[in-house]
Amino acid sequence: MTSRSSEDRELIRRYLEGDVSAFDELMRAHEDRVFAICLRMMRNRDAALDATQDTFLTVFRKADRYKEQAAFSTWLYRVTVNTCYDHLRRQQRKRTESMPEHFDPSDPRGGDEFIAVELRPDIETALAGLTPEFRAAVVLVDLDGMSLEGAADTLEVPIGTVKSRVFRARKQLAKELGNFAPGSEHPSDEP
Amino acid sequence: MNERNQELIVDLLGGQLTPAEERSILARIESDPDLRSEYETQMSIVSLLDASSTPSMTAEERSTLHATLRQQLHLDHSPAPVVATPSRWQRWLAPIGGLAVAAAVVVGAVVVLPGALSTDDSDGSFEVASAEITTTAASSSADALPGEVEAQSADDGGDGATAPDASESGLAGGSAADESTQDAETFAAAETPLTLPYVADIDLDALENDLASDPESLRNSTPPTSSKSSEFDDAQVAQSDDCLDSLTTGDTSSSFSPIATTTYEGVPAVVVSVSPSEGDPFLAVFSLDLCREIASTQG
Repeated sequence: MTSRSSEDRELIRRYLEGDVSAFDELMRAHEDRVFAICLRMMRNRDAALDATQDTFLTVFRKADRYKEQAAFSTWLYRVTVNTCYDHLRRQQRKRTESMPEHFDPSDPRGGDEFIAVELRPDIETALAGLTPEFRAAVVLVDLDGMSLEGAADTLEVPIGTVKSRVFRARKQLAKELGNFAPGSEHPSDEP
Repeated sequence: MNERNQELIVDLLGGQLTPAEERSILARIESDPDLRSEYETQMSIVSLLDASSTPSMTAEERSTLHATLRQQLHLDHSPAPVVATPSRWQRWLAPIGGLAVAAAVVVGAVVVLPGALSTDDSDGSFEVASAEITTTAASSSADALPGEVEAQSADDGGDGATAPDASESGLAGGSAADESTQDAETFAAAETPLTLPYVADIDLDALENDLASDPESLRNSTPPTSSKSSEFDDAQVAQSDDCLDSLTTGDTSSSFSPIATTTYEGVPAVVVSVSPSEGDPFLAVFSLDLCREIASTQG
């Protein structure tokens, strides 16, 4: 168990005992990373802020259910990704309900009026073409720098699945970004 | 490309291989053009993404996030037993704004709740009755009360939620619509017997739908009437009284304005407006049992 994990466990314990300063410390320690994941997943700054807020609300409201066997950060990032999935599903439903006349379902950019500006626009667009599951894998591993094991814990899938998703996601990104890829498989199959 | 090779490339780029394994796969990459092509493709994307800057929140976004979370989690204040708070209400209460109206919100809500609910009550079983509850009304300064009413998320579920504080009070008593337009000073500190309507089956969705379209109805509706007696027995009415008393005396920095009694998801509860000293007032549903628990904690 790392020092960060131990600190987090102690902070959660203090938070549950009513120590508000523990909330501030937990936020300081994790908010940037949570926001970064949310922004990569949601691609829209406002949506990312909403997802960040919902993530922390869930985590703090359910802090008493945190099982100390797992690192707090693993649980937190799992909630983060799941919250993003939920928000993306809601976005998708909204788009389906109010589909504009010019909507092109084959265009992964469809419906996104606001693109996050931290990535190159072409990378943003390429990321948007990935399914949420593939996007989460590449966001965690390649953009967030999470280990493959950490990503597997966070996503609650076997590590082999993470590797497969990462490999295929990169391959699709390469294709979208300039035909680096020799093949053109669509990254949709699990191993 | 078989799965084993895919995994090896991912492991190689992730630094997961032993030196021996690394030498082995690199040798194969050298000798296999297809493998080399896949490896270079993967490496290009990894390098591209690795060079991306990490996004961060602006100071304003960070501050807003913290403030919102603190409010939603009620972290700035002493613990209180929120069973549920209807976030939807904030949308139709917010436009009312202003202080004189803040008192009206409380009174008006008493008036409107049953009517709004009754329209959505498919089996016609919606009931309203009165529960006599006595609590302390206190005055409110027109300058001090925020103009918007907010509520925390409805999915709170009671997970460690706590109550906000407030230096002003905004207790409104009675249920007559005309009182809703009185100046807040009318409600200056006094022992005021409050007659709260009992809302038998509170339906927040129906409430939202009915009231979102007509916030003015808060001020213009007539008091609810019912031939039925309260579904709270005498003990529960007394418990409600204790609950409100524990809120008003237990957290002197907040004002708690009772609106109705109800049974929310099987839990006997009171609906109140909470006015914090910092931040906007909001509505909340308090469990009678938990209110009583606080009272006992405070001795």
